[in-house]
This record gives sequence, structure tokens and C-alpha cells, in this order.
Amino acid sequence: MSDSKIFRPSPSPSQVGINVTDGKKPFDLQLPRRDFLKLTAVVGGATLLASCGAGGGSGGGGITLQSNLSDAVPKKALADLVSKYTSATKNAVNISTIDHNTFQINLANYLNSNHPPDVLTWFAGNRVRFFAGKGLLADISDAFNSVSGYTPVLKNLASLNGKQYIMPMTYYWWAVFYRKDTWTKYGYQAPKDWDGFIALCKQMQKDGLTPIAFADADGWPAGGWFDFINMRLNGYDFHIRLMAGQESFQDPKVTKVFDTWKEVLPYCSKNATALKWQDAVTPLVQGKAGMYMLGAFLVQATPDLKQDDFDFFPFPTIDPSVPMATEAPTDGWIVSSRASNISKAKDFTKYAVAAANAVPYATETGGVLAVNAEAPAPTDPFVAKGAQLLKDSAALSQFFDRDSSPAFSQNALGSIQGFLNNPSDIGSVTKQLDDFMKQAADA
Amino acid sequence: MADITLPRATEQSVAKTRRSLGPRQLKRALLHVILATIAIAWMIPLVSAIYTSVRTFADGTANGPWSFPPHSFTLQNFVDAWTDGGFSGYFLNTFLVVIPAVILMLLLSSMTAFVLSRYRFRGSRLLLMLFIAGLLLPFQVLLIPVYRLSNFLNIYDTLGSLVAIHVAFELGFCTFVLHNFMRTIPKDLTDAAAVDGASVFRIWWQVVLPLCRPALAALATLEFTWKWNDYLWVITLIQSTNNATVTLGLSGLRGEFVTNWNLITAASLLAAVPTVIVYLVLQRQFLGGLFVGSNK
Amino acid sequence: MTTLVRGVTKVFGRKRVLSRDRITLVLFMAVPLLIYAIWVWGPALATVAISFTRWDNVSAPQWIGLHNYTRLFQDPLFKQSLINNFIWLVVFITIPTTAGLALAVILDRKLKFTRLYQSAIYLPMVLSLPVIGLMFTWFFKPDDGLVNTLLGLISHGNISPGWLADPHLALAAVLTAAIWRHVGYVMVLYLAGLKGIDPAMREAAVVDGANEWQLFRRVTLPLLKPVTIIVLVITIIESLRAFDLVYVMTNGLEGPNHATELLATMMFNAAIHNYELGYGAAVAVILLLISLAFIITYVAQVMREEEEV
Repeated sequence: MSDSKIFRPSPSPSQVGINVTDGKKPFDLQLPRRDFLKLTAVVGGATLLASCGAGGGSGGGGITLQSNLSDAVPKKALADLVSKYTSATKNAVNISTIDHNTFQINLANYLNSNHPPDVLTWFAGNRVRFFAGKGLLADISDAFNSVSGYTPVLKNLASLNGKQYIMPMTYYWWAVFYRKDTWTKYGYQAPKDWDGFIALCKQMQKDGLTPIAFADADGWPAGGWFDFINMRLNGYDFHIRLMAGQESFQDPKVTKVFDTWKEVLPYCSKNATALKWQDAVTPLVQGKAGMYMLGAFLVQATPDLKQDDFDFFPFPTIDPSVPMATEAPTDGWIVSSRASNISKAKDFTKYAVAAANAVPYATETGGVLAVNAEAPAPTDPFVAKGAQLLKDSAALSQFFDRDSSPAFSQNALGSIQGFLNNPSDIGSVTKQLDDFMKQAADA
Repeated sequence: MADITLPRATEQSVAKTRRSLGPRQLKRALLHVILATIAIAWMIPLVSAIYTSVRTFADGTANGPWSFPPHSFTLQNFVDAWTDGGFSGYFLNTFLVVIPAVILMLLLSSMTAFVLSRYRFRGSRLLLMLFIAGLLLPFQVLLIPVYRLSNFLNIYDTLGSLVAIHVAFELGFCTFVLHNFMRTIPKDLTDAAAVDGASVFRIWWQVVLPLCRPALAALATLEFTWKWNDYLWVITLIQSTNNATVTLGLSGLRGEFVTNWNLITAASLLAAVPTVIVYLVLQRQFLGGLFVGSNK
Repeated sequence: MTTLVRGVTKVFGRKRVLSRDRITLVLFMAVPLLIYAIWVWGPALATVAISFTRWDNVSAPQWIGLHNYTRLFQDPLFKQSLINNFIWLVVFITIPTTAGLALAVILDRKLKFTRLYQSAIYLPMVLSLPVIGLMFTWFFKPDDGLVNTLLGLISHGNISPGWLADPHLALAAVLTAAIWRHVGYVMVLYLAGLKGIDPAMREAAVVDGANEWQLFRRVTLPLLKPVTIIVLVITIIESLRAFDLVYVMTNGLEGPNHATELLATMMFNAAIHNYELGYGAAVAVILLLISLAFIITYVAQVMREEEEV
């Protein structure tokens, strides 16, 4: 039995014949040509239809708004803001919401396309400068300067070569959050400094809690830890220079950051790199974990609890001589340099960031604050405390990835996961970080 | 559905063995136990997805994904996914992309496969190789150049660009499978038709294509499932949600920070319905043979 | 294209081809080929060109020669990705294919409930990848995941690996999910192949006194060779393209410490996430070269068979 013969013995014509004249014919054999034409027409028509169905909805003189606000609550808040704008000005706004990560990797594609969206959500600081430097963003200095509540810090975050390219709207704060019930039950007090923080962790462990809820499958939560420890030890200016590639990660100052970080790792959730950040919210809600160092968006992940069920304290001081800096990622609006209607686009951004409109938006979103200095102090005590924290901070950082480059942060956060799994080998992590920084600069 | 019936299947076969305990029956019963175990194990992800989809977000957060019994039961996730998620529009868009794409890719690749399997001419092997080589291309390679191309052709952010890339990219795979299949159709058949004066077009349309029906059905099933679930091309070529397909719609339910996994899972189950239907409808043809022609 | 026209003319010249047929044949080849060239090979060649440049998808690309390649060969991530891709390929070519084949052979016997078993093993494939990724991430959760709960029952709580958190196990965890998907796929392909085997051939072998293993080894398996080739080709493609599940299960970081980095994820991160298109393209070209090795082997095989026929 030779293989090749078994494989392809010629079918007898009769067998094939049965197939061909089988009751259910795949295609009508009688009128093949007409049928084919019909098929072609259907296919062609569908394709054509599909293509025409596109074309972008901006035709009616409105503007298109590309949004990365894919979380349910902010999405709704933006929709409300836009409908308010539309009824006030009769200008139509067509929102496209793309999930945050997808938006981020596709922004260049959106801005490069023949018909870019008019207004887009984006991040202040380094990330806006990158695209502004490529000429993809409209210079909106006039709109920026017409807003009265912008502080010099914000202006700096929006500027490249003296021109402004983003209209900042909201920011939020990072801190150490805890559930009030749990703390009342055990009688914990917010620590004043690092030693107090460690002591608190020890006490929580004694009480059978996981002191620090921590999850790092997403990578970025560890970025927050690195930023804070670095800023508390070495100061904001060193941190920013480091993230911009102007300092070395193999500097003993950075080694000290990891050494300090190592002190709290035993008190963090086990196997953190396998958990998504939302997974670690569960023990916090259940009262099995003591605290969680994260952004204020944490409260959006706990639908059963209100934000007043939580409280927070600033990341503890390590070196008292270093002024307090806080992570406060700032989001706003950018306008494409080839927007179909730049003045209308600018008009919308001015409307959106005005205190009267940004504040209700921030309140509805929850856990974020309007950046506009003219905004009245929030009435909600939780949010008011956050606003105070940002006011008390000597400097505001944008976060690990936003203060560096996408290429560096992506690789670096992976290496930091390596540190979390094997905290003893700091030397190779800092070397890797330096290599990644060099590569990113080189690219 | 299957997970409900499977345990019964085992019981029945066990019951049967008790009645007549031959070694053959025993073996058969053992086989059923093994198969049922595997089938159940394979269904676990689907069952867990269903379990997740009928619980509330608050329950999941407060009690973790595996808490049993559930503290909540709701069908609201499905309702929300359909209405708030805007899924009806996404479904329509996806059909408008996938159906023309699958039909076109099958037609075009059957033409190529037909010529390459029937006729030898200079360069025919090179052409075959070109098509097969393309099928092995990791498609992530093409993302940015194809984005540029569609922008250049002014079809970026249209469903047409998706149809175009799906058809083009799958030509390799479809040609490969159909060529493999058509090689086994005896030459006598087409020669006989040619002697009777049939045109090449008629031979392709009336003789070869009908014989390829099982392979076409199998390909249609696979391609429908793949294209329906495509995500990378959609995010690369589509910008506005007006033109979004189901997968882009699904990802739009993911937040920057907070993701309602229960809602996403419900939406995914909804999104899988058309592919399940296509599988069930075409299953008979499909199993009837991707390769029937090669052996019978 | 002119070669094609001349070639077709030549072949049909012998058989007296009508010009109408000639036009049909040329169109049959030309239309798909044109589409393929524009949308697939054009962009692929563009990628090769891009790999010699520094380009951020925004400014004009800058020609930098082989720089991306020298950087690649010094990049520890690249070595890691190559190793991981190799492991992935070896595991994929052995485990899911064997399992899929075994299941297909068993289910091909006219057992009761085969349809149910088949559907149970195939249907989960239609779930969207993010959800599959999510479910498996939850299975592998260290403290209350299904896997560790089961392990805990067996070992009385002594064994509780971190799975996705453990650099040595993360790849295995992701591979488990990928194998789970692939088995159903392979099974369906083999089932389709088995349906096509003439029962008379196997009956003949049984009459000759072959036992089940001999029957499988000497008759069924050789008969399945064409399917096996397709399965192997698909398995190799899937291994080289492997991307989605890793990306989803590790949140795009391929962590911990890049333990699950693959060529495709490395390429995607460089070109799409990091705006380093030239570097990403260089990874792509390497991937392309590896693929080509398989393609040439396969095509050589096809040609040899065609000559035999």
C-alpha cells in the first residue's frame, strides 16, 4: 500500500456525479452566468454600501470628538457635557469613544489620517509635546490664554516653545486609600512618615490583614510606587530629569529607591504581578487588606460603597527636607492641526474647561477635579480633601509613563515586575532601565 | 447546553454496562467517562463566562470572581450591552464587513486555485509560492503600511477598507486550502467538459466549484469566525464608532481604570452568537469535508 | 503579467485555446494577484524597507542602514523572544496536535453523543479573546483561582504557585490557554479528514487481522497525511503569529520581566505602542525569514508530490 496511491485514488466518475447532481446544489447550474452576475452585484453593492455608510458624520458642520473616556461614568459625564454644549450653541458634536489603551496606541493614526477628528482627549505634559513637536496639533494659545483660571504650572504642562497645545480640564490625585470601617475597627491612625508607615504595616499584619493591597499585572501601579519613593527621597526635579533620561538609573540614589521599596514589599499582596488592579480592590472592600496606594479612581471600582466610605493620606514623607510632590495626571483637549473647523473646535474646548462646565463634569465623574483655579472648593469632603492635597503639593508629577516616553515606560514597567518577583537583584534592574532609556533615546 | 446533557450521557452508558458487563462495554463506558470529563473540562471557560455574565459588577468586586453560590443573578448585563453598548449598530457593521469579505475571498481564491491546480505555465509555481508565502506572513507586520495605504486610497475609516484587507489577506490561506483540494479533482472530469466545448469559465463555475462545496463551506465557517473576531485590523483602520465593528465595540466597554468585566463578558457572549449559528448551520458540510475530495 | 499571458497561451496553444478562455484565465489569475500584491506584498515589502529606517509614524523616515538589526542582536529581549517562540512552536507542534488527533480518532467512531463532545470541545473557540484571556487569568489567580484551589485540595495547601506572577510558569500558563483553543481546532480539521477516508480501506485492514493500534498506525495515519500537512502549516503559523492571548493575559507587558515576550508581541510593542516603526519592522523581517524557511520546505514538498503524480 503505497502512501501516495491511498491518498489520491481517482474518484470514480459516478461518485463525483452524485456529488454534482446532489439534490441540494450549491449554485444553480441552470443559470450560472446570470446567477454569477447577481452574486457579483450583491457583493459589490454590499461593499459599496458599506463604504458609503462610512465617510464620517461631520458633514453637518458639527465637530467630531475622539474620546478615550471609555469608563462608564466619565463617558456619561462627557455625553452630558456635550449635550449641554449643543443645546447652548446649536453646534453638533459627534463623539467616538475608543477604549483608553487602543486610543493611546492609535493617536498618531488618528491625527495622520486624511480626515482627522477635530477635538481629541489627551494628556498634558510630555505626551502632548511629542505630537505638538511633529506639527500634528493646532496651536491653541489664543484659546488657552482666554481662560482665566489657568495657573503657570498648567501653562507649562500645555506648552512647547512658548505655544500652548492642550486645554487642561481635569486631574486627580494619587494617595494611600483605606476603608474607614476597617480602620475604625482596629483603631489605626494615618502615619506621619515612612517609619510610621512601616509600623502601621507591622500592626496590620499582626491583626491578620494584608497591610497593602497591591496588584501589578497591569504594570503601571508599580510605576506609582517608584515615582513616589523617588520623589520623596530625591525630589521632584531629580525624578523628572531621571524620567527624561538626563540622570542614570544606576545612580546610587536610584538604588536607594529600590532598597526603600524593598522594605514594604513583605507587606504587599502576594503574587502581585499576577493580579489586575481591580482584583486587589476586593480584599480592601472585604476588610481583609488595610490600604491601597493608588489613584482616586479607586472609588469608581467599588459600586457598593460610596466615596465617603473611603479616606486617604498622602504618600508618607521619607526625607523631611524634600518638598512634597504628588502624582496628578492631567487630562485635557487637543485640536488636530488639520481639523475641518479649528475655530469651532477651539470654541468647544473653551466651553468645556470653563469652571461652570468643568466642575459639574468632574463631580459627575467622581474622583477627579477641575484644574481651573476659579473652580469653587468641592462640597464633597473626600474630593475637597483631594483638592487640598494637590494645593499643598510643591510640585505635581504626571505619572511614570507620561513623564517619560512610551517606549521607555513599556519596557521599564516590565523590568520593574522583574524586581517585584526578585527584589534582591536591584543591580540588573537598574542596568536594564538604563539600557531601555538609551534605546528609547536612540530610536 | 452541552454541559447539561453530558453527565446524563455518562450515566446512560454506565447504566448500560451494568446490564451487560462485557469487556467491550466496559471499555466503551470508560471511554465515555474520559470523553465527558474532557468535554466538561473544555467547557469550563465558557461556563465561567456565562457565570460571570449573570452576576452584577458589585458582586464580583465584593466577593471575587469565583465566589459560589453567587450573591446576585441578573440579565441586566445583556440588556446593557445591547442598548448602552450600541451593539445593534456594531452588529450591522460587522455583517457588512464579514459577509462580502468572505464571499469575495472565496470567489477570488477559488479562481486562483482553479488556474494553479489545472494549468501549468511558466511561473505558475512561483505564483503558488507567492500566495502560500503570504499566508505565513505575521499580519501584525502589515498594520502600519496598510493604514498608510488605506489613507492614501482615501478609504481609511470606512468599512470598505476592512473588506479589502480581509479579502486580500485571506487569499493566501483560501488559495492554499482550495488548491490542495482541487489538485485531487481528477483531470478527466474537466477535460471531458472541455471536450464538450465548455468554456473555462463554465468549467470553473459548473464543474469545479460545485465539487469544492465542502471545502468552501469549511472555509466559510473558519473565515467567518476569524473575521468576525478580528480586532487588530479594526483598531488600525477604523477611527469613528459609527464604523466600528463588534470587537471594537466590545473593547469600548473597557475603561481606562475600571472595567465592568461582567458587562464585557455578557457582551462577548452576545457577540459570539452569530459565529455559533454559522458553526451549527455549516457543521454538517464542514465535517463532511475539508478533505473529502482528497480521499474518496 | 506578460509571462502569464504568454505562458497560458503556450499551454493552451497546444489544446487550441479560445481567446475568450485566455481572457478568463488571465483575469482569474490577474485580479486576485493584483489585490494580493497591493494589499499584502506591497505592505510587506514596505516593512522590509522601513526596517532600515528610523521612523515614528509621524516625521519623515530616516535611513539608518543596518542599525536596527545590530541593535536587535544586542537586545536581550530579542533573545528571550526567540527562545520563547521556539518553546511555543515545539509545544504547539506536539501537544495540541496529538491531542486533537487522538480526540478526532476516538470521536470518529460512531459513538453516542459524539456531536455533543465535538461541539463542547470546539465551540468555546468562538469566545472573544479578551474574555478567554480574562477567564484564564482568573483560573490562574494565585490565591483563589480554580487551578490553585484544585492543587490546594490535592496537596493540602502546600502547592500554590504564582503562575502568571512567576517568571518560570507564566509562559506555561499562557500556553495552557493557547493549547486549550488549539486542540478544538485541530480536532475539527482531523475529524473532517477522517470523514473523508473510505471505510472500506480500514475494513480491509481489520480483515487482515490488524489490531487497533496497527490500524491507526498503518492505515489511518498515512491516509491522514494531507490533513496533517495542513494542520502542521496552521500550527506553525499560529505559533509564529502567537500574540493575542499573551497580550491579553499579560496586559501588553509580557511580564513578569518579559517572561512571556514573543517576537510578535515585541514587534507590536515596538512598532505600535512605542512608535519605533523601524525597530518593529526589523523584528518583523526576522519573523518573515523564519517563516520563509518553513514555506520553502513546504513548497518543495508540494513540488515533489506534483512530480510524482
